[in-house]
Amino acid sequence: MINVFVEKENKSLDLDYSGNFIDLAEKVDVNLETVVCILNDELVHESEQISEGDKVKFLSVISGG
Amino acid sequence: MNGLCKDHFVEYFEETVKNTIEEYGLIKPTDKIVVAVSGGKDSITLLYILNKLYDNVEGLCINEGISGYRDLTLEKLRGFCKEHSIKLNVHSYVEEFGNTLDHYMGLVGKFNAKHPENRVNLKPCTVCGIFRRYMINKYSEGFDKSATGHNLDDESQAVLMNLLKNQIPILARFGPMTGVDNDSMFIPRIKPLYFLSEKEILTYSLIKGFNLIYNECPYVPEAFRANVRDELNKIEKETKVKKNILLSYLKISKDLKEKYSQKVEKKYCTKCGAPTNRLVCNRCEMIEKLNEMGANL
Repeated sequence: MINVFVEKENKSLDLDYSGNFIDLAEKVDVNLETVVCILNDELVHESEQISEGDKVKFLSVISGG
Repeated sequence: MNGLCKDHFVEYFEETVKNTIEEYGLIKPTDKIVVAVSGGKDSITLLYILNKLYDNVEGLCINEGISGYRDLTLEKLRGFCKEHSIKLNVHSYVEEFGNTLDHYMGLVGKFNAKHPENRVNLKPCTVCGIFRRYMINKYSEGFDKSATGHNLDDESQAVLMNLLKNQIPILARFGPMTGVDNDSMFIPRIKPLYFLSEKEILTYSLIKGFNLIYNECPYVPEAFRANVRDELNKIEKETKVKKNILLSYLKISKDLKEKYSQKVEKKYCTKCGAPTNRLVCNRCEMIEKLNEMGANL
């Protein structure tokens, strides 16, 4: 099980998943153009692999006004 | 991170800023630069890099009075400037106009509720854009360049928005440097982050460990820009178009500027004396509108 947090929607969910951020983004309907990927509080590439027990965050790039 | 490691990403990012400055002649080594800074990631990043590259750099923050947003970013901004020994000048709507943007938008809401037949379509971004621009120009006096954190996303959205609204004379004013004018009352405005995306700027600010609040202005969802931004991001996911929009625009911008530049004699606002191409400037017109709703400006 991994924990996924989508900042823009303030949505947190637990998923059975292993793979990279690119496929995970598709699965949870997040556009990678609008986020950066955080794995266990560390900024990572979208190609980074996610494993059991990881905490994943899609941090929104849209801020300011 | 564009497939780069953190160190190489930082190098790529800073080189892109330097190349933009050089290619478009944005800054001379002796220039005194003021960075219009909100406390968000874009302007903080710009302030950090320009302060690293040049000697005479100061920050200028306009506090519009947006509760739960500007107060938080301003606090972070003060901390950032203190940490990096950058002089920060802060001016507010309250000191300039007498009240906050929240207050003025509240008046518009009340007016529209009371007079549904004469509803006024006044968006917060319109009021803010006019008042902020006025104050930035006013408090940039004495500087050679005024820098803003406008990025690839902002600028590609702006090109599309003006095309969609058939506003070609406004579109003609865009580019990495604007406001180049023989009138000494305006100083040139520069955009060194022109070719960097919001995503790249956030990545850079995270790598650098800037202690910021990454939140969005509460008024943004009302804007036409938000729709254009969302649609553009959907397209960008499949095909990289944002940079192409700017490169295409830059190919025709010289012709556009020539065609639409104000070759007529410069006029001055009959109310406040500010340079304008109209009888009454945007700021004075906005003040009139708000006063009609009881603003007492």
